[in-house]
This record gives sequence, structure tokens and C-alpha cells, in this order.
Amino acid sequence: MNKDNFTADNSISDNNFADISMTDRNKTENVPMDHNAANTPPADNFMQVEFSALERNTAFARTVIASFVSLLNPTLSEVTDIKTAVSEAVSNAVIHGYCGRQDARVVLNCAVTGKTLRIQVRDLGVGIDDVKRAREPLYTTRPEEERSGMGFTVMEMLMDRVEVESRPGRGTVVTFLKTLGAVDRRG
Amino acid sequence: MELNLKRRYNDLVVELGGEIDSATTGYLREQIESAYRRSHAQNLIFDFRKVSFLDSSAIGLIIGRYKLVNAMGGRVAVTGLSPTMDRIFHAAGLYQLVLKYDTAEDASKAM
Repeated sequence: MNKDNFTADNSISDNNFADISMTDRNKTENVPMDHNAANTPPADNFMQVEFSALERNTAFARTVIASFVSLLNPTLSEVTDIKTAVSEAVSNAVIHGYCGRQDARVVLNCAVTGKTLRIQVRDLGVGIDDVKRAREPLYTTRPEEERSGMGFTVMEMLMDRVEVESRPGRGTVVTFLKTLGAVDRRG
Repeated sequence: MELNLKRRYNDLVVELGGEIDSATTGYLREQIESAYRRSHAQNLIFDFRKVSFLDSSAIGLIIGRYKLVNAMGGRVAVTGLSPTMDRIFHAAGLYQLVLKYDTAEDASKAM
């Protein structure tokens, strides 16, 4: 990923986590995920945006990812799926990562290689203590706000692969892989 | 994000429109709760026909209202779902609690 000039918190592009929690559910093929930027093959196309961690920007994030992905002529269903997964991840960053802090930023990026998208939502928020538990359906740290605890379940259902890296106090990176034009095997 | 509330027989029909995400559910929650209490309707029917987008925050919205409606002896139904909405609700196990119909009219007749 490009280490571009980045405002204020440069480290938002650089968090290096040793622990990785991955799901292979729904994967259509084994795509190696390499976080060493030097070894990552250059993408055909790439974009990155950074925005304030405000709930109203969730809609903005959906618009941006839909717009970028539309260059690949996805189906309406594919765009909806991608928007929904991004909406879940950005909401998590805003609500859980930053707990309402006004000065915080969220990063959304997308690398395209062929028909495969690698989408990331990154924050420098509180991080997740137990990623495995966080990904369990219905688990939420905010039941009083009517959070359903289904964010990760939805992401996993809609994307080919979901990877979560997090360290308490160091932030969280959620990475999706989605290959467009895959045959629908749901039947 | 639009909201239209209608009383039909014993049901309060909640017609939603636009996008439902964590930014909009707070307002919807208050409006629906107070309308339900005021209407003295027993059942709650959500109509998603005009909703262009929703994420899992909609599930929290529905389940939160389910608790109130259930306590009042009523049922909750969701209608007008797109295929993706149906998948999301199904994955969340929502149909163990709420009913699903094609249209609000179908729901009213059945409930």
C-alpha cells in the first residue's frame, strides 16, 4: 500500500499487528493476504480517503466506495453488498473505536487487482481486546444503544474474506476481499 | 431518511424510506416508540419498500421495538424487503422473532 503523505496521525497507515484473526468462511479461493507493503504487488487501481469519525460520514464512505467500485461494472447486488460491509466497518470504527471522540479519523481504502477488491477500514481507536469474541454473532459492547452485534456476521456473509487486526489502544484494521463476477453458489 | 406512520386496524404501519444506518436509527427509534404508544395499536409492521439502503443497525432498531410490542402482546412484521435485506435479517436470526410478508397489506390481513 502506498505510504502517501498523510495528515497528523501518520501511523494510521502503519499499524503493524502480529495477531491476525481471519475467517475462511465463504471464501471462494485462497488469496494470500500480505501486509508487508514491499511485497504487495502493485494494484491496478487504488484510492484512500480519510474522514472524521462521525456517524454521518458512514453515508459518505458508502458513496465513495460505491463510486470507486463502479469503475469495474459490478452488479447492483455486488455494490449493495460492498456498501453494506463498508457501512458496518465504518460504524464500528466510529462507535466502538472512538467512542464518540470528535477529533478522530477513519481511513477507507481500496486496491483493485483484476476483479478482486481489497478494502480496508482503519482506525486508531481503542482497539479490540478479544477479536474472536467480537466476531461472535450478537456480541456487542454497546447493548444499551441497541447495537445488534451483527456487524461482523454481516460483513462475513457479504464479503469473500474478512480479516481483523487489532491491538487494545492501538486501533483496528478491518480488511475485506471481494472478487466481482464470482458465480453465485448460494442457489 | 423518511418515515411515515399509519394506523391500519390493529396495526401501526411504519413506512421507512431512504437510508437506515447508525446515524438515522436514533431518530427513528424515538418516533416509532412514541407513535406506537400513542396509537394503542397492538402490532407493528415495518415497510421497507422505499428503503434504498440498510445495515445491521436496522436489526437493532427492529429488535428494540420488538421488546416493547411483545410486552404489549403484539407481533412485529417486516415487509417489502430486497434480497440483501432478507439475507441480513435471516443471518441475524430475526425471523425467530418477527414475521415476514411481501407487503404491509399482506401483513395486516394475516396478523
